[in-house]
Amino acid sequence: MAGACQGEGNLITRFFSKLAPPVISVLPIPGEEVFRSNHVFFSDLGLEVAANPRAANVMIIRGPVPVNLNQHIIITYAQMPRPRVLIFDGLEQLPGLPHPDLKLEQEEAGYLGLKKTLEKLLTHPFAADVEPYAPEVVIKQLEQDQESQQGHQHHHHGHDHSGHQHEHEEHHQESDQDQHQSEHQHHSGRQEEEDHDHHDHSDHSSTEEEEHEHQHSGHDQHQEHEKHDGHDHGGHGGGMGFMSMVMMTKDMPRSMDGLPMEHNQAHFGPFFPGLTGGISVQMMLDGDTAMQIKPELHLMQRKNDLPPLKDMSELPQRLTQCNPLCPETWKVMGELLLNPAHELTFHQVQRLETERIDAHFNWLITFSTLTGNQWLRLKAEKLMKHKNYREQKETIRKFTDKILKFRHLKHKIQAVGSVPDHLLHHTRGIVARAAGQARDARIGSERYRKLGFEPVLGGQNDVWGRLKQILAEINQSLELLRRTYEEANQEVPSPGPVDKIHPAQAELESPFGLLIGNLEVKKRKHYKVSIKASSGCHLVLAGKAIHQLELSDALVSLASFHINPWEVNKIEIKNTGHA
Amino acid sequence: MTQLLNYLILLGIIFCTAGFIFMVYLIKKTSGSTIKEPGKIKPAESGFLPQKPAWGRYHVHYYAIAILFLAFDMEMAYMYPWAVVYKELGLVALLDMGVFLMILFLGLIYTWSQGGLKRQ
Amino acid sequence: MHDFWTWLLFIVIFFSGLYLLSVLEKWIYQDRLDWLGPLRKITFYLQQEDVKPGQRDKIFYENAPFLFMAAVLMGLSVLPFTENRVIVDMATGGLFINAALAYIMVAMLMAGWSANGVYALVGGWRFLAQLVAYSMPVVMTITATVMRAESISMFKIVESQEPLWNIIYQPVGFILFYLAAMALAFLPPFDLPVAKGELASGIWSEFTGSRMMVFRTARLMLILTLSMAVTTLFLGGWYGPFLPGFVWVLLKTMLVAASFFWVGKKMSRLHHDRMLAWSWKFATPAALINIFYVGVILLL
Repeated sequence: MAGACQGEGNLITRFFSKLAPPVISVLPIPGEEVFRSNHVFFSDLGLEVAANPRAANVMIIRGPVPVNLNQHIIITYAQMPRPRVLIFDGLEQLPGLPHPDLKLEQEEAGYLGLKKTLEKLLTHPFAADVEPYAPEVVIKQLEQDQESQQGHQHHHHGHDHSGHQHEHEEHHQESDQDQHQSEHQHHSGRQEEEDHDHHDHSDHSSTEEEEHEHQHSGHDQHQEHEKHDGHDHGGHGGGMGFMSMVMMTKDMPRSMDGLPMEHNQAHFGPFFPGLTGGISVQMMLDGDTAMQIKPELHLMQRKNDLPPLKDMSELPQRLTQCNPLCPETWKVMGELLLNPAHELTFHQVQRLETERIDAHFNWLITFSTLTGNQWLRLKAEKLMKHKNYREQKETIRKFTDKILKFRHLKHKIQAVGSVPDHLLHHTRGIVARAAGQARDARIGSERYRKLGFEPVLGGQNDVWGRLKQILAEINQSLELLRRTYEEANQEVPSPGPVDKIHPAQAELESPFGLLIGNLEVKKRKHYKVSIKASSGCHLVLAGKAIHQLELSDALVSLASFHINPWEVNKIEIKNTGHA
Repeated sequence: MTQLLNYLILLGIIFCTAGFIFMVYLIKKTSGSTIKEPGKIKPAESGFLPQKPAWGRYHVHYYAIAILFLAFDMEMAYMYPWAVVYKELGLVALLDMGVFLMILFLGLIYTWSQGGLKRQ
Repeated sequence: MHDFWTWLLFIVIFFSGLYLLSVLEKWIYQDRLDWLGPLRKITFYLQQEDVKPGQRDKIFYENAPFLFMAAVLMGLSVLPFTENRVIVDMATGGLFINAALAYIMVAMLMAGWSANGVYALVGGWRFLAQLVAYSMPVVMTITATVMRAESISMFKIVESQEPLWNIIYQPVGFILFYLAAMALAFLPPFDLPVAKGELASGIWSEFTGSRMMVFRTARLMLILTLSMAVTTLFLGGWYGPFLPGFVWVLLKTMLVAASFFWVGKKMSRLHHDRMLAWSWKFATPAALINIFYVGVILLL
């Protein structure tokens, strides 16, 4: 096993492993939602889901994986303590990672015996000679950090005072250690920043910084840095005399109440247990207030890993691979693009609505992890596992009613996460309808009109309003499903095989917002399909709307924007031109 | 049982805890060692490597309440002996302590009215 | 008092209590009854490597789990588990348990600070906020029970409940102490410092292997200590018909611990500033009123 521990294990470890095999703690990549939407529930299989890489001993990666996510997977794998097991599911290989210990094909049956296999692997995970795993990505970044520690003196010269945000980006790219103080635009203030930064880092080799400090005209550092052990300041003491606290902290960023504090930067990144896997934001934290958040917009881009289609009739199947969180919706989109004039069949509506309910429950489970409500998580999982939603209509209705009665939850998430009014027209989907704007692609559809569809409109532009909207839409989808089964005798025959492909445009209401598909004819027999979704816009909006909120409020607001990370970037598929 | 024996037992508990933990570490040490790998140096930040240490001036938003807590803690230190002898002393004790508590309670209400019990 | 039977009883109650608590926790939070659960966790932590972040604060990092466990054990040792048996018979038991449990906060803050990561740091400072919130109700309600017993010794407090248990005598005090004990043991909905969803397990995110095993065991001991404290202070300790005293203590402790787990299942996590606001606006005045009320009743 590539991820075995070094050593031999002693009597006690052997005794305990024989007595009880270890807990299997799984870190699902790219996120637990992808597994749930394929009806793989880890709690059913007897596995636990780990909160962070340090608590996991198994990493399961389910393909397909976007290219930019690769380095984060490598970093996460490197951060897992041994013994660690690597499982690929539907993937052949990932550059940078060692060979997987298990390979699964993407089917449910493969998961049934997984626990026993893993327990057998992990019963005695010791090996005499183990090679350390030193991926290039990690080494390069650590070296960059080392360099930036030593080289930051070159940085600070030639600052542009007016370009505060620009500075921020620059620092970010060069991974500067003093990044969080990039608000300090004055050279004279640099002295105190470095002192503040360094006096707690006792492991820090800072001979270069010392020289750097020596160059500046005498600020007396002795006064407040008694803890600055190991550095000899005898050479340049006694410059300015007494320096008041106000002067000392002149250039530190001010918080909302005017106190000078230092900001921390943290990534709430692709594999965070409370957010959908794949959403990554960088937050600037003042204490535990998120001053601003910067979403990563290109993490889940799929540019070159989608090979061109040989035959356009493969389009619906190919589109299901593009978006593991709502594959059926994209498949229907593909079918619509190939037969644009055709009305939606009942079967398609059933698939759409079932997937809508699936996606909403999936979101609810992640949301319950974020807000820490165990009962909600257990109940939503139980309802989602039972695939036949028609039988559960009453149970689901009682469940949604119960959630709406949670006064504490309402109090907690109300008045948080509103989209500013002048930006409301950019929203689609749940976010728009919760704010009272009737934007729904199903309004224009003939089939939905026959089913008596009316968009549900909420009145609250905040997280609680969106939660209510989701619950109401779950019930609405159940009702629509019931009607499709009743009226199935009026079914329109499904369209035959495609003979001629025309340029087409189609709009669909996916569970996460609006989905617009475009089929262009480039040249004879050369087609290009591009699909855009509103999730990208929502992610940018979330970056703008979340401003100076407490950390948990910020995360809850981000989750409420209902972003599907796989839809954030535009997807383009071409064909090879032979059919 | 003498008080000295009590404190000796408590000291013994501390030593035993240290001994137990030491034993656990020893078990781990003999079973295998931690390999030095570059990915383990930085704290885990959900898929990224953090570039800067997190130490620094942390903005604690509840400092007003913490100061109020200090005042009430001093009060509680005086209430313990009062509580032990309360029943003997009767109504007088109740009134004495009632005055003391009322003064502090008014302090609490003042802080509340000035908005000190919110997130700063 | 310190004969063989004391130690034997203590060990039986302690270890069986810990094991049962672990099984209970998994059963109530995840709907899975796994009798080998704690053993499997021990295997897991025995196998796992000890990964230590490079730029950590060495002293704090090593001492945090030790301080946590030592503080909890000291708190546990003053609680009586039958009429005349206790590990440490302090005349100031009520005061001592509060003092010992205060070091839990110190240990958690040390753990959060030392790891030098943002998640752990935020978790540590949030736990300090929790201390400021729960500390006053704990101290004030213990004082109210002391008033009834006229002594801070734990034996006397239980003996004073022979006619009527404190849960009926001072119901407000019971509710406040119960909720504050949940906040002390950072159980959901007060599990802010080690939240899985919000901080990717916060303070515990950088501890692996043997240190994590010490932390988790110590946390179970903390829950056991607090349940036993609730039993001693409010539920009448070893009093009960038919069964011997220590069985009643064990039963009541398990009952209280199970209710700790069960009560928090439906509530979402509490923000620490809401917790602070509610504690200082409602819980502390209620505790003061409780003291006044007990004072008036005692005089009647």
